Amino acid sequence: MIAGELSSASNRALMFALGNLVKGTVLSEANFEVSVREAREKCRACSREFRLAPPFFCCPACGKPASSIEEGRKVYIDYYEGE
Amino acid sequence: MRVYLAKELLEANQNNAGENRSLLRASGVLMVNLIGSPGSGKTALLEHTLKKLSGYRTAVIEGDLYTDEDARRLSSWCNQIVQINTEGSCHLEAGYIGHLLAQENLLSAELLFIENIGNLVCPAEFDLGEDIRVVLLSVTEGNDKPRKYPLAFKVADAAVVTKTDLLPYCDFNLNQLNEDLRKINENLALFTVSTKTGEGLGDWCKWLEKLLQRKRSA
Ligand SMILES: Nc1nc2c(ncn2[C@@H]2O[C@H](COP(=O)(O)OP(=O)(O)O)[C@@H](O)[C@H]2O)c(=O)[nH]1
Ligand SMILES: [Mg+2]
Ligand SMILES: [Zn+2]
Repeated sequence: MIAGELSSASNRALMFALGNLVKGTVLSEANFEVSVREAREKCRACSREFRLAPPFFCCPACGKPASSIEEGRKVYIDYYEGE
Repeated sequence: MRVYLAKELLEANQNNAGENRSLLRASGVLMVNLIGSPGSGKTALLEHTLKKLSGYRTAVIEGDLYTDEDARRLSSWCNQIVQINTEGSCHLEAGYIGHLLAQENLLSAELLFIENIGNLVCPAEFDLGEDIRVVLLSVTEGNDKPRKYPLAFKVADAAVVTKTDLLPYCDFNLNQLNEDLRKINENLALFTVSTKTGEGLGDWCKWLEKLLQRKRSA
């Protein structure tokens, strides 16, 4: 799974929930991996690429606010693998 | 074998929110989602807003963990009110709002308000399909809250600073708040109100009326 850095989804909470969900099912031996993905964008004003960091999500070079934080809020299942 | 899904966890909620948005567009209802911590003054603001906008057909979806006290507080000022008790859950979801839009007579209203569960974190994550999302901040909570809970303010259309009659008793720095909010969300509309003195309620209600008019003529 990929958890956007700005998603409010906690890595630890996800692992805890997934681990408990599969207990006693055919997936009980499954391994889960959650990677946290940084939210980045190219500044609309000065074109510098920067990491969207709370609390202001602004470009560190020129102070322009990020255009959108939506990418960094996504939490999704990237893939599963098995035989 | 590796199977790529790239499926978003909140996709189901997003889809439901999209359906709500289409329903609201078709019926010309303006839906306003109020979020804020417990005690920030959501119900008090609604009471006074409904009173001031009594010329419109209004409806309220009142979210609380338990009890219908807030719904009863509002019932004299509103044409229709629906109470949701989430029994512990900390936010409302689009699917349930959609269910209510279909079951109850809410789409005959002009203005539909939602009082979300008192919480500054989770309600910001769940799009309900609303036209505008409003986050409340009472002066007793302190002006640093947008720095500590930036997402709620980032995804909002307006912020309402409540209980301004208490400003003389709190070290609440409105200028600092303004500066922080501009940085977090340059498009955020800002209102300052007190339900005790009535200060600011006029501007807030005028803004809602303007949005309603714009939606109807769209
Ligand atoms: N002094 C003052 N108190 C307020 C104001 N608005 C709300 N309150 C009080 O704050 C408390 C919580 O308000 P309420 O509307 O129930 O908050 P909610 O939990 O966000 O719905 C109540 O005791 C209200 O009387 C205001 O503008 N000024
Ligand atoms: Mg309330
Ligand atoms: Zn820049």
